[in-house]
Amino acid sequence: MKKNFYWFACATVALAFSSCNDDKIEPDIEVPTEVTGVYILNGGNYGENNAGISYLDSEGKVTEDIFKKQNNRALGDMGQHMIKYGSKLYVSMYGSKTVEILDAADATSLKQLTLTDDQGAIRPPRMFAAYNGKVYLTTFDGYVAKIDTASMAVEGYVKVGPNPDGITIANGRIYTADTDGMNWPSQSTRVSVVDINSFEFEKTITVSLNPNYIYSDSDGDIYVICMSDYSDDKSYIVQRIDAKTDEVKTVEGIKAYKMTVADDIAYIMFNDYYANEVKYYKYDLKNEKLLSDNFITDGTVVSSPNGIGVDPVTGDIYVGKSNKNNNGDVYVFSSEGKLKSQFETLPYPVDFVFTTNK
Amino acid sequence: MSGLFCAWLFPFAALFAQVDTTTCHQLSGVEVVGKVRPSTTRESTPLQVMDKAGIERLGVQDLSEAVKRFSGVTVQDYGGIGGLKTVSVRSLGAKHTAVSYDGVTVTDAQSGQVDISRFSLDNVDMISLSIGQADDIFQTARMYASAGALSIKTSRPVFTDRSYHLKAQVKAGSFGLANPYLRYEQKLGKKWYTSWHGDYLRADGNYPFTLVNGNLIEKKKRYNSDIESWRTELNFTGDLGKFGTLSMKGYYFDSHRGLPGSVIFYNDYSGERLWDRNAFAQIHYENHITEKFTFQAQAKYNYSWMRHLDVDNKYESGRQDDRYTQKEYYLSISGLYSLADHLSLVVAEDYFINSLDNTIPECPFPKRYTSLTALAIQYKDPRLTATTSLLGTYIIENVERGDRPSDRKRLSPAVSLSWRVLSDHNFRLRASYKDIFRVPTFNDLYYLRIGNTNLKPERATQYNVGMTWSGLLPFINYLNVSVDGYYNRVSDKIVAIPTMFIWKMMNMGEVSIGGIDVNLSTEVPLWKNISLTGQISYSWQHAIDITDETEKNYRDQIPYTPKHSGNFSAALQMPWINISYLLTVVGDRYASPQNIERNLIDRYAEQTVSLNRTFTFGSCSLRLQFDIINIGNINYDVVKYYPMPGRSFRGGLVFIY
Repeated sequence: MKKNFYWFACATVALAFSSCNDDKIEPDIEVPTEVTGVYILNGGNYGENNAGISYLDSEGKVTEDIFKKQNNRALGDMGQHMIKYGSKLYVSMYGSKTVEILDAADATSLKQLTLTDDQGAIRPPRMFAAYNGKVYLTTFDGYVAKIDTASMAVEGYVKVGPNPDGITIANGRIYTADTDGMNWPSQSTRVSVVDINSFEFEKTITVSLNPNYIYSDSDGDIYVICMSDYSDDKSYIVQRIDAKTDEVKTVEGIKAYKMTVADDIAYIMFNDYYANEVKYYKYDLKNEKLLSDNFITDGTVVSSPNGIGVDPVTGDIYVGKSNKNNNGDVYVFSSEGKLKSQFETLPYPVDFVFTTNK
Repeated sequence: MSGLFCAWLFPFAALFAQVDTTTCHQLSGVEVVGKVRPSTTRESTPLQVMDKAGIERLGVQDLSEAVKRFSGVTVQDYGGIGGLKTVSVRSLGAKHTAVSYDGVTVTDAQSGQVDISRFSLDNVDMISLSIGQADDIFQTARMYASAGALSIKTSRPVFTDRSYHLKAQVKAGSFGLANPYLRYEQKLGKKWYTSWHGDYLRADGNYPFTLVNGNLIEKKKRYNSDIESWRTELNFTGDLGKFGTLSMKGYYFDSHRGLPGSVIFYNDYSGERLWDRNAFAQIHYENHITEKFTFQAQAKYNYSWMRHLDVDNKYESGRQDDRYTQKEYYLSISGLYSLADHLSLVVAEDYFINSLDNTIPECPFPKRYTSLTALAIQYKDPRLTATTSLLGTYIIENVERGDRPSDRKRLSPAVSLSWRVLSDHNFRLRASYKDIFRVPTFNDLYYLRIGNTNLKPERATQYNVGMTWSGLLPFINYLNVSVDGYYNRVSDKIVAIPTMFIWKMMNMGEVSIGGIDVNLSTEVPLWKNISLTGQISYSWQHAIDITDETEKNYRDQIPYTPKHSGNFSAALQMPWINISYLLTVVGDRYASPQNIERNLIDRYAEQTVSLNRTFTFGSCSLRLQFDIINIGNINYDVVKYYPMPGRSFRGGLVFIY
């Protein structure tokens, strides 16, 4: 879902380490001039093998499942996360336990990767972050895998907490939100920190109950969404981990289910099911300021959203919605929050990747 | 004659009903050739019956195969011998179907549905499926409390020449199936008898299937689909003279199986195992106190234990190992009183306690106390049957932690009518109405985070109109025809709704169901002792989701509900061999709520042929049977990504002394 956080990760990284890998990472990636297409990962429903990737081209034409069209096979079960890094798309399939590495130009599969543990069991992949020619992936058996983007092979694993999900990279560190979600009644308050250069576990940071998604801004501040018990006052709060001191503070005024970060602005969706209220916050991470509690300004109601993305060129906001069973819908809003267009996807659109001509 | 003959079906005759059931059925298979078959056409609500003779004639070997012969029924089948099989009547969902075993309802308060794969057909005398409120009013109150009821009646021994009987049987088949069975019946003095049976079953279940994924077509095998089970049952039945009759049953079932789960693309791993233990003791007492008054009482204690193990590296310990224990204490009393010549009254009161505990931390340990009171009045003369009933439900539920649902009080009425239009023709019209509900299951209410204690019961309203005809035609022993049209409405349907991060159980569904069921059965004598019996049923269902106008599946057919489905069976009985042919045809269905191409599950036709012959040597008999299942080797799914076995073989040998 935080499809775009890689943009700034990539951008900052690309600046700092130009020609950082042999994956032909574009040097001037921070100024794409035109979005030529949007890939939308549709998660599908558990056990139904119905995940897929929809594609919206620059003319506004939608291909329902470009993965299947290009590869003559299905993407698989439970699409979890998708990012673009360099010239490739990385897609994690939690049910199928595969990582599909695709050519971002045409969505053809370059490699279907499975990650195996010492006992020969397949590791369930969750979420990606990219840095310096490597893609880092949380696996639900408690690890972060390092995937080399050129060889498309796993170079190593580092153990973090149980069931890590969200992952972000900043300050020369990898941060993972360890959910411990499969080990009830054990519950987590833990963010793991891995030193990216040594690729060794460094420390844990204690946050509020049930961290699940994690993001960072250009100052290196880390933002964690903590689910708590999904219904109490502490559920869905956002906490900030200070870049320098690792001090944890709750961000006041917002609650989040998921978010995406573009240019240090967090676009946040929150659906308070019990209050029957949907919030679309816009929050300035750098200046720590709430810009809006509803970035949809024209009165359009998108209930129960499950994915959000921001076009890096135009600032258009893409909101995906689905009840998991039925086909999804994507609503496209201008940066001013006016509905521009709407199109249908496969069930459960969660992540958006914007390809550019640069 | 026929009216008397099938008296067990009818409550005003219940004075001798319960006792005569066995003999009645023995007769139906053996002596009634040439007579009108015990008819279901007099019923004012749809009733379908398959007796032992029918079961043997068709060679069906398990309960789900038999139930699939009925119209208006959807059997959800997850494939393989150990795969879950549940029965849904007229699109109402499996949780609205009661399953009774020798008159006492089998329950699972946790899941709310009964897996019919756990019953064996080996000791079954008759199965019947009633839709709406059955005409047999002399039942437990619980049998009033569901939209449809599948009743299993086991064999009762009949001693003629010897004081004991022995039956030994062995079945074997494809995918490692082996199933020996032994039954012994013994007369104890003049008034008592006992019967015991036990069986063991094992199967590897590793059947091949073809997985189609775009251009990738793979020949695969189902893994982790093995099963091993033991089952035993002991019965004592006694005639206490003027003090009535008493029967007691003890039952034990133990199984261990793999849960293969759905087929997941690119991931063959499956690490779930299930252990099940179920023991119950039930007792039935009945007394015809006077000519006009009959009393019956039943009690049951049920214990079920389940262990679910999931070995997966996503758990920190590498596994999740849960145990669930459910207990039920059940008591039922009912009285049947003849008010006048054609008028009878039944009052039934059931009281039961259900409890669940499990090893999952923070289990609320729910305990449910249910009182059901049923009152029914029936008028019945040769031409008219009119029944009305009212069921009162009162439920209190306690929990040890967390919220508890509020008490539930409800009245559920039912009315039915059957009218023989002309006195000299067996043509009847019928109409019925029933308003019933199901209470939320323990899973619905308490499942960690997903459960919702504010749930209301899920309501089902049923209307049925139909006609039946039965009679004799030239060259035909009998012909039974029934045609029913129905309308059902499910409201406050309990469904899981994704709420941001977690699913939550909600009363969020509304389903409108219209349909037609047609049944036709006949027997044709071909030559001296060669005869052909045939049966056809057809169902049309229009079951649409009308929950939310803004949803994409608004007015779409609900999942797993074919518009058209039907089956055909024929049995050719000859002195040297009996041959039966079974055909099941199921039309296109959708695996998900939205009716789009992508969710479509293809129609299929499945055919089975069975050959059998019985040899008799003095007082012994030996029956040999051989079946070919899914002759066409059709690759099909009943539930998407739960492939069914292709062509398979099964042989059986039954020795009776």
